[in-house]
Amino acid sequence: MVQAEQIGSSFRDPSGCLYKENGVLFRKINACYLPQYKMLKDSGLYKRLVDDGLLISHKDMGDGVIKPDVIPFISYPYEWCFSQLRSAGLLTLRIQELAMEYGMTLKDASAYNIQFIKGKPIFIDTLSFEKYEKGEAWVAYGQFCRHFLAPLALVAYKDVRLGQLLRVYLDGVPLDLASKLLPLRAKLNIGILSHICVHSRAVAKSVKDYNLSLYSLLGIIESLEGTIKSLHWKSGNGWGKYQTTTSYSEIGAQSKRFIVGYLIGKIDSNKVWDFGANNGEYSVLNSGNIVAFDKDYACVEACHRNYKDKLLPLVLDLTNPSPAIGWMNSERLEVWDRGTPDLIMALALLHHLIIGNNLPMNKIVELFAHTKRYLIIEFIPKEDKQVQSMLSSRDDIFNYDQLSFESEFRKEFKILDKVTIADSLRSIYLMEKK
Amino acid sequence: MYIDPSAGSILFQVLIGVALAIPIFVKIYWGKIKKWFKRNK
Repeated sequence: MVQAEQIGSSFRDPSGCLYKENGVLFRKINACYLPQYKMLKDSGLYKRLVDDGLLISHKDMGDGVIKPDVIPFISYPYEWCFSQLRSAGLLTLRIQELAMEYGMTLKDASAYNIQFIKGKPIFIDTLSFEKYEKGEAWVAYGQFCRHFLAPLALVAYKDVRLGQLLRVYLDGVPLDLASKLLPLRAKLNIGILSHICVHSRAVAKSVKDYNLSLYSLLGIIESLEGTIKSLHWKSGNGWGKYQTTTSYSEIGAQSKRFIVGYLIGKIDSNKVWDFGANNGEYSVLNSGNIVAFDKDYACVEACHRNYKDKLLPLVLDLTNPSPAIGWMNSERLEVWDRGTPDLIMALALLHHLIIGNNLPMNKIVELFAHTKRYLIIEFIPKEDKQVQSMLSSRDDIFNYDQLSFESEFRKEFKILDKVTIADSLRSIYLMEKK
Repeated sequence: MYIDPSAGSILFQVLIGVALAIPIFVKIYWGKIKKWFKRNK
């Protein structure tokens, strides 16, 4: 029996909708958009964008239905690091430039139209193109500034945590808010001053009978591109210092790398989620589709710079993970609704959850039981220096020892292997879901 | 995905577009002039 299920992210779009039929994703093109879609194909723009790896390719199924290529993992702008959002913004502008070459334009510039495959941003909304009418402005200009320029400027000039405003404001950071939050030195950047600060003050009930020349439009796109390229973010700690090995001796670090590789080699896993992935050095020991989560922006940035072609690094705080948001809480999915990994990795994470966040062991077992099959988890006993340092500032009320760890995890998992890291008290377990 | 075109953004583009058109105009025509000289050398 055929079961069609509409996807929550596309119901606002008058041009068409996304739906799944027996688990396969399709896009229905509404009759009103078919002439634009025909122009996208006939003008050669679709071929150019797909050949350049800028737009997701699709198979034409006939009757106004297309089957887009599968994205391994859907991620959202509030989960991206600075470089990911920056590259997504530049991709949007590049596509707009190319679209104009072919007599078309982007009718929206939402950051949600971009996904990442092997570290490269790719545009996924095939129905975002429309015919460019001579003299018209870029209708998506305001949205582009809210979705890309404002959050990038706030991160670059103020604080990296302001990137999380995208989680609150689904249609991008309001420009008046960005303008208030940006420091004076940001306003010395002419692009920021004009596209955010002055732009935020431009209010009009309606604009009729205007004519924007092609030179003006190209000038605006080029100015946005130059402004985004001028923005940079660097963590105060620098990239090179982010390593998971800092708690280990040289022998310990080598041993841990060997053990993780050995345990991964014993199992077959195509989808991997690594929580607390840090700079990703253990995540990349896997193959297949790897998503490396960490709550630290600098780690995610470092991970993206080092291993972007091998994995997808994302900002995620496990104690407050990405929720379902948008209309009826169904437009953007919570992280747990975006697939089931074959393997979950949690290295040097458990003690942070239990001692740092007062989470009971059974709740953590419940969380990791999201894996389809395997779990690789590190246990760090109380005697370890790092745990000792965490306990030095609080009462030791925690039922946290190796025996209770094993007995609690045995309720949901079978322990397949357990290896102690050389020159340390730490152990790494390979478990299989019962 | 659908968005509502914002009148304020359009008005601002019309205003800022005048200034931003100049470098593009110069770039394009400077390229054309250079091309013309190369051809007629």
